[in-house]
Amino acid sequence: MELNEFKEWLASYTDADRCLEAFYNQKEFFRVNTIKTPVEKFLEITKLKCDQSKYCTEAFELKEEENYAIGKTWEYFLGYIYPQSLSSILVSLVLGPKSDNIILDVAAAPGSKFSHIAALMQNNRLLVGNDLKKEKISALYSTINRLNILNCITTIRDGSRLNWRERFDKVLLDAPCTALGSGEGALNRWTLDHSKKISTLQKRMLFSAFDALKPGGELIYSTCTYAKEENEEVVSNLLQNVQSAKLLDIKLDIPHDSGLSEYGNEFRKCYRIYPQHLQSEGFFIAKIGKGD
Amino acid sequence: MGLGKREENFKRYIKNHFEMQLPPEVSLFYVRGVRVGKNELIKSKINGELGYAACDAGFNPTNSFIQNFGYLAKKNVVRVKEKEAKEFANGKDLKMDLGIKNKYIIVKYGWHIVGLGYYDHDQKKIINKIPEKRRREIINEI
Repeated sequence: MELNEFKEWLASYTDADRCLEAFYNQKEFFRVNTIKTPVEKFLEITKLKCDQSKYCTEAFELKEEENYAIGKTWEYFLGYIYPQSLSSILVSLVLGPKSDNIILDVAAAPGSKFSHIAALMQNNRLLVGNDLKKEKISALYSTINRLNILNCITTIRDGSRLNWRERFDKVLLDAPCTALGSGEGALNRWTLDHSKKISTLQKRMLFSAFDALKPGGELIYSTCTYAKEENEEVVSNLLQNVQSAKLLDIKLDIPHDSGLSEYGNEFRKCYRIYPQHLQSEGFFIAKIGKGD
Repeated sequence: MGLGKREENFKRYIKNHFEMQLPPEVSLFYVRGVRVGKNELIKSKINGELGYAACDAGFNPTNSFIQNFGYLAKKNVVRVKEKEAKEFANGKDLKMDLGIKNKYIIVKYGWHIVGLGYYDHDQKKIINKIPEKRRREIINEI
């Protein structure tokens, strides 16, 4: 799609110029892996020039002058940090994992949110990391080993046919998407048809993920894209077809736009994070509860 | 060998060799995707071994296990300087005469565990046991 055409489309959601400018000037963030080192200890040992985020104590912005590859630092090698965008870090906070939960991450590889969830669970109870392909699980293993995640098992299943009825206290579905909020290449390849096509898969995955949730449990549906076909429409499809599903408030004080109310007022509970909000990736987050 | 016995033997091995006592809550073994030792919740068709819990018949430790639990070791730990630590992280063997017999050792820099090595007495060097994918050219200081 041509840039002008894309900007016109994007303007139906947000200030397209600000969004694109922020998108191309994103800050670099990483997360301290508190399984291996508490934040206080990390600050004592690191020589990386970075600023702690005000939205998440374990999130840090790498200062601009620190321009080397973070994957070549001691901190990375030793498993003390995980490079991750700030908006992606915040998704796990919205999930709010507890150390006595049983949690499923439906599309876990390569393990950014998965490893954050494990840290928030303090490496306790059980976290199941699923993905579709063995190659993806292999990437997840690297993360698990490097960061010393002990409370997990991994599985290879089609996320749209999990067949795990009511087993989990919490479920994260960070769905495969067109990634307009995260990848420059994605923007060049994208067409609206692509969003519509992937929306079908996302709807199936959300049904399956919701089915795996225990009554009284909570599910986070997130994507790193803007198209409503991949976001509100997917959630709306679940709410219309499953009576026990309801949108919940997200209690995280961060800059964001509300979800699109054209799908109903309750969609204002969803968060649309555009790059201009956090100088980070664009994200959509919905929190869905399952009635008893 | 049963899983319980295997775990018991492994723990005995690391206690004898590294004087390492795992925290009581770390008793997780993963075999064919089934988590044992606590309530089994979900079975999977894939192999779910994590490396640190997995050890071969001779109980050779894995690099992952050492990088994650090596800080608990009190024996067979070799402290190196920054230059050597960087070389080891990058996959190089370390030429040095430790005056010890052939055995697995832990390479440590400051209080950071760099990885697993095998000391070869004849060649007088620490053979690097960090898997290729984990090796890194380190470009900063810590």
